[in-house]
This record gives sequence, structure tokens and C-alpha cells, in this order.
Amino acid sequence: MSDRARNDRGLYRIDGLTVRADVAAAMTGEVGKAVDAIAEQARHMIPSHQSAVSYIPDGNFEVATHATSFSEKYARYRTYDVMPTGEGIWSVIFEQGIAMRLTESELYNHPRFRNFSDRLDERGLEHPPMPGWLAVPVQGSRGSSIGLLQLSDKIDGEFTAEDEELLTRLAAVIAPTFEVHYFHEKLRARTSELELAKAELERSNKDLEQFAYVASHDLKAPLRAIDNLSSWLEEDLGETIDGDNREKLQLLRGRVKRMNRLLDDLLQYSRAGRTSHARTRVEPGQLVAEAVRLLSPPAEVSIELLGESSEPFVTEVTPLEVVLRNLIHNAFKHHDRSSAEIKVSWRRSGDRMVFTILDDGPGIPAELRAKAFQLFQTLKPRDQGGGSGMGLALIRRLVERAGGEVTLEDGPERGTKATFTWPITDAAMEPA
Amino acid sequence: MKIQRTASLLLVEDDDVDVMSVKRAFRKLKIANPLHITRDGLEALAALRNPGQIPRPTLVLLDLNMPRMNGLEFLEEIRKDSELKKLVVFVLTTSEADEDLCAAYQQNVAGYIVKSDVAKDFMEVIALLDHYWRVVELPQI
Repeated sequence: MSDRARNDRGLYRIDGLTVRADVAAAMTGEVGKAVDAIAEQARHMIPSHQSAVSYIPDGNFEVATHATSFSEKYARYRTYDVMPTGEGIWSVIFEQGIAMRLTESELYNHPRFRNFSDRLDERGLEHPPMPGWLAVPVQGSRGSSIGLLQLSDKIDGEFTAEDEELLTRLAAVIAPTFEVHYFHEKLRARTSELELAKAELERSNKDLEQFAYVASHDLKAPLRAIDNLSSWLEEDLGETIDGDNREKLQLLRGRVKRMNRLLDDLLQYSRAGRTSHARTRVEPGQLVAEAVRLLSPPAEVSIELLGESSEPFVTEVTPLEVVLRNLIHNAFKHHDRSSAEIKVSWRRSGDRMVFTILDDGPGIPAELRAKAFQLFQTLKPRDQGGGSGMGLALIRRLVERAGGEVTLEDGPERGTKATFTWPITDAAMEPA
Repeated sequence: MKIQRTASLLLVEDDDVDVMSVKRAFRKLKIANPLHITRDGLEALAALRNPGQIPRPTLVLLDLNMPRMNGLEFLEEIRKDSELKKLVVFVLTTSEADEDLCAAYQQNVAGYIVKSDVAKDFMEVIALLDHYWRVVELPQI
């Protein structure tokens, strides 16, 4: 009666096999617990004195997980712990993917069977004797073996064809458990590899930023000296210097200024990735107007502000200001006509602002647009008013760091249309 | 009764061009006051502690990055020294680091000036110091 009750509560049927609850549960857990439970299950399903279950990923016995189960008759072998190496008769089953069912004499006479009885474990215990042997491979979905089920010393007579079939079905039931575990392990190994690679990348990025900072800072000191010395030469030589040499001095100072600007921009670029700024509340119209005011554009540049939203928001204002200022400056700095018309518009789109800066300048050829965002790329020779080549790279870095995107397109007639999105928080959502 | 002494400047600076720059600014601004130059903290301390060598300067213009004894170490030394602790010191450095700035003010400097990038010499700085010692009442030491 009590057997029956336990059956009702405790037994599972999987693919037509009745499996104990602890086995079913273990199958979804660690592979170590699963093989233990399956070893027990197998020995009770086909009543035998010995069973062994092995999970052998990629056929690699060195990382295999084994479990054995012995009846009281073999109790003294429960501590036997010589790990199998996959040689001998195991390899027949494993490589060919076939079951083997042998009597004791068939087993001990098999050409591939190694008699392990002389192989002692660390405590001097010999391999248990094997009166009769039934072994089936656990086949993975890709056709190769990923495990092995073994029984020995059937309690009642020799192993039969039905026993072999039953054990083969058990092998089929546990195969998915082994496979899931297999892929889980692969995934975990890959994930930790990726995490290592990511940490390494972050570290080297940090190093690079640190380097950029230190280099740009330390290069400035000698540059300042060169600038001073050349300007003193120019001053002190005064009228005595001829036009040719004066021009050389001026060229020299021009290069010094260019290098200085380059170092400034490099410093700013390296800081853009590291510094975090205060979040403050700002009204978009005021923000854009302030950016324009700081640029103090020449009279022939007209800048039209077209705001669709005047609702204040909260964000890291400093980098947003830098981006706006740089994009607006670009719009007229590179202009090819005597007057320029620039339109700056903005609107709210969900949890971000969308800013657009449209100019009527020469535009950027489509094939050069991707290049425009790279560090140190200028589209004009530097002596003809090209910048340091850092502006757009800096802009993109700041925008992407804030979680937005920046794109360049052709304007409707001519010129360039630069659009960027900038994530914001509602002013009402954050305490003032 | 105050005895008016000629104001003088002690420059503690290891960069030759920066020294030239200060001298040049003195010349261009027609400042005739004495200018004494030492190349690092140790040299400056030795000069200050040996009264025969130079008169006690009205102001010290101090670089931070120097060999042997840097500017911050020099500040620490003079603030521990009962004779020298009253010295009025301006820092003139390329370092924009917050740590340096805070550490300098910890030692009660009168001002922290960053050598601007490609500067027009130190005209502005020297003009400021010239103005400072003419307007500000300083201890007679």
C-alpha cells in the first residue's frame, strides 16, 4: 500500500519511462547530481548489483563526470575511485555508438577488454568483479556519444534483449539533460571569455585615454617655449629681418598654433570619455541661443532658431552645449559663400530631444561622410582653414556617451544637415 | 612706522624659456625691481635661509614641477619654518590638476596661475604681480 502511494506522488513518466522524482528533478540541475540519480535509477529499473553513469563531453574523459551505484553485495567497492580513461572496450561503445551485452566469460575473453582486477586504487582496493555486463552509449543530437550507461551483475540471471532496450531508452531520456548541460557549459566558457575580453578592452581604452591626456598635456610645455622663442625672435629682429625669413617665422608660428589646437582638442576628446557632468534643468531655446551667443558669429552669418518645444528638461548640460556649439560652428566655419544661412531646430521625441542643424554651405560628399567622424580627418588641407580634424569625432563621442546618435545628410538644396538625438529626463520627474 | 623697502621677486623655476619670459616681461613693463632666480625648491630654500645671499623677497613666484624639490614640497618646508612662513607665494604652473590646485591653497598661496597654452610671454602675470605689490599691504619681513 505504501509503495503504491509513493508511486502516485513520487513517480514521473518521461517518454514512456517511469522515472523517480529525484531523478527527474536532478535532470534539470547540476550534471553531478543528475548522474548520481540516474545511476540509482538504472540499477533499480533493471535490478542489478552495479551501475555506472558517465557524462563525457566531447569524448574527453579528462573532464568527464562519473557516478556509480552498488548494492550491499558490493558495498566495499563504493569507495573505489580509479577514474576510467576511455581505453579498451569503452571505446568500442563510445566510438561506434553501439550497445554491448556480454556474459562474464564473454566480457573477460573480449579482445578489447582489459582486466582491471589488478589495477588498485589509492587505498589498495581492486576493481569490482563484473559478472555480466550491459553498456549503452548516450547519444547526443549531433550523432556523437556524450555519455555511457553500464550495468553489471544482474540480480536475476543474465541481461536480456529487453534489458538492453530499456537501458537504451533510459539513455535516450537522459541525453537531452547531458546536451543541455554540455551547451550550458560551452556558453558559460564563452561568456567568461567574452567578459575577460571586455575587461581587457575597457582597461586598454582607459590606458589610451590616460595616454592621450598625459601626452597632450606634456607636449604643450615645449610647444609653449617654441612659441615664445619664435615670437621674441620676430619682435627683436624687428625691421632687420627680410621678408623671406619673416614669412618662415610666421609659418613656424602658424604650425605651433595648429599643434596647440590639436593638443587642446585631443585633451578635450580624452576628457569627453572620462568626465561626468552635473545634471541640470535647462530650457532648449535658451540653451541654443546661449551656444550661438558664445560663438559670436560674424554679421554675414544668419542663424535662425526654430524650436518646436520650449519645455525644460534635465540632462548633463555641458556636453550637450559643446555638441551644439561645435555643430553650429561647423555650419558656418566651412562655408564657401560670402553669406551663410543656418537653421537650428529642435523638437521633443519621447524621452529624447532631436536637434537639427542645417546649413547652406558646400556640403560633405556622401562618400566622405563616414570619414568625417574619424579622428584627425579633415576634408580640406589644414592650411586652408581645415580644423584639427577632431570636431566631429568629439561630437560623436559626446553624443554616443550620452546615449544618443548623430547623423549627417545632404541639405534639401545644398549644404549639410546634421541631426542628433539626446536622451533627457522630464524636468518634472526630477527634483529641482 | 613703516620702512618702505624695495619690492623684489624670487622666481623658482627650472625652465630656461620661462625664466627668459619673466625677465622679458620685467623689461617690457619697465619694472626695475630686483628679480632673483633659483632653479628648484632646494636652491630657493638655501637662498632664503642665507640672509647674505638675497634680500627677503616681497613675493615668490613658484613653479610646481621641478627637480629635487618640487613646488609643493617647497611650500611645505617654508610653512614649517617660523622665519619663512609669512612669505607671499604665487604658483605658476602648467598643471591644471585639481589636486595640485587644492594642495597649493592648503599651503596658503596667494594665487594659483596656470601657464596658459601658447602664451604671450608672462606679461599679464608680471603686470598682475607688479600691481599687487604696489596696491596690497604686505608684511615687512
